[in-house]
Amino acid sequence: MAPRSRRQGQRRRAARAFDGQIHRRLVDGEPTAPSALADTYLPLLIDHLRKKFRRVAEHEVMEAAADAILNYAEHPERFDPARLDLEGYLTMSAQGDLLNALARHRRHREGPVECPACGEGQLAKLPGVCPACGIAIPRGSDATKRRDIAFEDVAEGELARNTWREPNPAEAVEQSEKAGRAADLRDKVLETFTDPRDRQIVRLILDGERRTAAYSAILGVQSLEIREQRQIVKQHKDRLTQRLRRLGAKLRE
Amino acid sequence: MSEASDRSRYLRIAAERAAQRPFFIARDLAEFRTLHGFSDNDLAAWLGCAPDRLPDLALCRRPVPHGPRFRQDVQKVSQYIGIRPERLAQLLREIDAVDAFRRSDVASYAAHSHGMLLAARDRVEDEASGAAESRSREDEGSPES
Repeated sequence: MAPRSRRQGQRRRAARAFDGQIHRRLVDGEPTAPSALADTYLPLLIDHLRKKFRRVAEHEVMEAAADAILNYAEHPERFDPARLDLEGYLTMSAQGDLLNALARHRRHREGPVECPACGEGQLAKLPGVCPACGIAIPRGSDATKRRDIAFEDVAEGELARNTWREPNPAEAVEQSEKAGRAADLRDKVLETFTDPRDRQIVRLILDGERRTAAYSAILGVQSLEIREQRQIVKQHKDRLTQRLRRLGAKLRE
Repeated sequence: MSEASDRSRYLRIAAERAAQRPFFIARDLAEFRTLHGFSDNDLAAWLGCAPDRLPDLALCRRPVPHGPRFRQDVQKVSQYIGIRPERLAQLLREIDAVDAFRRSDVASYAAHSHGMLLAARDRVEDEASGAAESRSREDEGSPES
């Protein structure tokens, strides 16, 4: 028996010879070439793709492999044997369809997400806009945790424990001056809002208040359904945030 | 499942997909089967081969009935599959004729439905070409020519 590496070499040479031959026959328009190609390559390709895409349904793997073979048989000129071997080319060709199938499968498995704001709308994925209440819902905290790397995970021991230090006296003075300037600016900004209700809302926005109830109380809509409250609050916050942005731009000028 | 049955299953799926593409004989086989109400066994018997050879036949490139290589290609395919060449030629010609009939039917329907519009367009074009002709006659009669 020939040694393993020698046998592999022989097989590779035989495969290369077959590739070259079948490619020439397809280019020449030989009518039996597509059938011979499918006969040789379809089982190989399906086996290879089934191992690679275990989560994709078998019929999808078979269809993608069949389409790759049929596409190549119809358009052999698209394959450049100098760049890739035939098996690699066919695998690549089928892979696009299978990746799409995989994405479909993943979406199907995850299913729609219930809107955390109104609890009525269903979002296909996060982040997204709820079709019922129109609120933009950010990526869920679990997904964010999966995506982001926690500081503690990457920080070195000492650094992770030592993230806050007392300011020295000079820094303390500077910080207090900064805070004073910010307070002045805030007063000036608030003065530009003549409507007392708007001014109260802006104060909450600047304080970083996020609870709907706080805004609902100012707007006098707390007796409405939570969904309606959220909509009304959002409208007012959007309008005032827009005004604040414009004001900020003017102040920078 | 055995390797042979896997292989025939894969080829059958590929043949089904190929039936959507006029490039392959698969489409002609499917049309012929529907036209004559044949089962796979009927079709295989009519062609003179075993039913498990049908996917291999379906995956061959379709010889073009009016093409210069038709006879030669039919011979090659028939020899490769082991069927009667005259039957394959008959099948391909019949489906080609049905296709041509369908095309002409669609074309005549389209022509009929646009008849009024085409007539109106002819008249406008006639008038326009008549005016152009008289202009060119005037040009020919001009002293420069």
